[in-house]
Amino acid sequence: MRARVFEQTMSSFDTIKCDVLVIGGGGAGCRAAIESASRKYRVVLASKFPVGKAGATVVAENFYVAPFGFADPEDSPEHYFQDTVRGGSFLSEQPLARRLATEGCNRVMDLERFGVRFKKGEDGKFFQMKAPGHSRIRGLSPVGGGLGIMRGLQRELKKYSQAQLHDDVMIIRILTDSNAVAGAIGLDIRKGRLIAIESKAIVIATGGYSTLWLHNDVPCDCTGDGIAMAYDAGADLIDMELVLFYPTVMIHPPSVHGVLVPSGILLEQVDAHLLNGRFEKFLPEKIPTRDVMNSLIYREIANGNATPHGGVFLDVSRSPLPKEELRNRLMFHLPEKYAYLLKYGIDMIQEPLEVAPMAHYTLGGIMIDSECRTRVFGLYVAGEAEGNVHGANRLGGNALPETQVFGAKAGEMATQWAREHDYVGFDPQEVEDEVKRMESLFELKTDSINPTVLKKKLQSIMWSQVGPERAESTLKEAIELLSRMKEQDLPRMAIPPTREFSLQWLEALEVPKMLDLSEMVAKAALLREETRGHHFRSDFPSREDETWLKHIIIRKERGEMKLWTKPVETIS
Amino acid sequence: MDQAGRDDKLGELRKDVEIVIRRSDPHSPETPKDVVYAVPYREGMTLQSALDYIYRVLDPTIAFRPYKCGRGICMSCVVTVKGRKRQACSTFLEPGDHLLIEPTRGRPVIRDLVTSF
Repeated sequence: MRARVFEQTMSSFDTIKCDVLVIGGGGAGCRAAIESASRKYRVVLASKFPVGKAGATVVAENFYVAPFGFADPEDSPEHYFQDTVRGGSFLSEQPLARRLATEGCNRVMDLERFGVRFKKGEDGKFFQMKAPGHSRIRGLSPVGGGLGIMRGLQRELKKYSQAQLHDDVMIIRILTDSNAVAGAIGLDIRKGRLIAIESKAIVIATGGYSTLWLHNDVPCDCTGDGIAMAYDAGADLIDMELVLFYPTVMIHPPSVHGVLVPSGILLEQVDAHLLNGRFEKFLPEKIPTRDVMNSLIYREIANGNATPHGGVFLDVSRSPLPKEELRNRLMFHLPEKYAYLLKYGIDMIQEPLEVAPMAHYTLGGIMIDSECRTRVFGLYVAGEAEGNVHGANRLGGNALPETQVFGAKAGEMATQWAREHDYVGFDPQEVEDEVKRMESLFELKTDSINPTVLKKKLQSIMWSQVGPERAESTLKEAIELLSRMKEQDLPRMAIPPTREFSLQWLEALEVPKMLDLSEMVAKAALLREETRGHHFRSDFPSREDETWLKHIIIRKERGEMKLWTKPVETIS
Repeated sequence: MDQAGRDDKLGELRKDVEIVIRRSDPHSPETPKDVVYAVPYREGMTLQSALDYIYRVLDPTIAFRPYKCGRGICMSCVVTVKGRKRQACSTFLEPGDHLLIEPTRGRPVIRDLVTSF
């Protein structure tokens, strides 16, 4: 065991000690922190932005799937499990999908206990609605959507003195010793100072990496930091090439570019239509899952039937329902979204919305077993940062339950690890070295490049060459361009000397991680020579079950990025 | 026409919006300090997108909260506009606008427009 960091005298960084460090202040991170704190363990929750104003849970729509069987007594966790696996084109890691299906209802009851409200019918039972890809009616409607859930989790978390919230702290590196968690290094964004956190266990709940693509509908903090850090720490990653492009995100006017419009709710609940630029319907009678919907949208665009700004119309205005009824239903199902677009002068009852697919949710992530464990001892993962619960597509309403089911499990497992193990300890020199590396960012360089410019450059490469449509030639080109960025641009990255709340510093820490992740996505996308779910290879247009019912695993070995395949784990 | 009126007219002709940011720096003796930024107007422009433009194009040292929930509910982007509490994401700008932006009142300022919550 090495000298413990907290015993040292040091001035260039601050130190904190806890049993469990949770990284990420969204739904999964808060749920994990509640689980540990409620078991009387000292938890530090570090969130890049303030909890409640961070991550993707806040922006989630009012749609949460759980197989209670109130609306459809035939429903069961088994049906839900099968739908999830089928909806993901059989690339789901089935023990994970099983956990999601069997524990979903209990986690909803926890949320109710935390004060989250779900819409209910006159019988007092949860109101449930239909959603594309789900064979039974099982969608719940949390009041206030994802933000409503976050408020409940925040309230619950505040009850525990064992939980310390560190808003505006970005964790930048996980420290290990002999393949076990020792702690982490972070940047206290407010103070502009590094921080060392010694912990027995860590839960990564940093969300996905959808901001790698220029066109996305997620908040700007979803840069995949935790996944890149886990990779550096020795964890395996899985199916990084699989990205859910949400079919109906506003592309025009520019003021609302990137605002998601929930297609499932609008098509199912208010009889909206999806139309091409000639105002012709092109969806089948039964509303398809989002991957299939995207392929139909791309076909219309390729056939020259796009709208003026290159998308399709999501049209509520042509619904057969009377306008008053339409308004009532929108106010019931999507009150915030409807009001928000109205603020921008867009009344969806009066005019069709111009929408197109954009990056929305990343299916790949850190490989875990069904108990949220990684290859690194004491390192657990919850929420979107984990892969691959869903497969090559995720059914609507499956992301929020994922945060709660795996958040609770990861919190439980991390606490158990902390109970049974002592601190590993780490060498303070590692933190000092990181401080030095940081300082080099502030040095002026010839031809220095601003991290914002680099981020935009990689996002453009990812969108045009590793986006919704992929082919060998463009993927190889992307890998070449990304590697050139690493070699030529990264060493020139420099930031202004301002320390406190420096967005440039934040981006300078995100960009190298985003470059690593981009390279992984491009390499895995090149390796998967088939089309499945959201992975569309124009040069391999069919699904190859004979050869490709496999995951792509990525590991860092002696500094090199290694990729290989592994058969999908199925359960009877 | 007074000076302010002429400035407004000029701003309108150039289709610029003038954003005056009351910047705070814990290390500077001259804090807070008003800094003027001219942002080219774009249809449907909000204060949040103008701040984004200032950061990306004019001055990368500016501090503000860039998180966007896309539904107008998270209150991350709240600032003081012409003395009133406003969400930057739903404060719409007009060509020729001249706005004083300050951090939210009643909260400790970290730097520029960023406060703790």
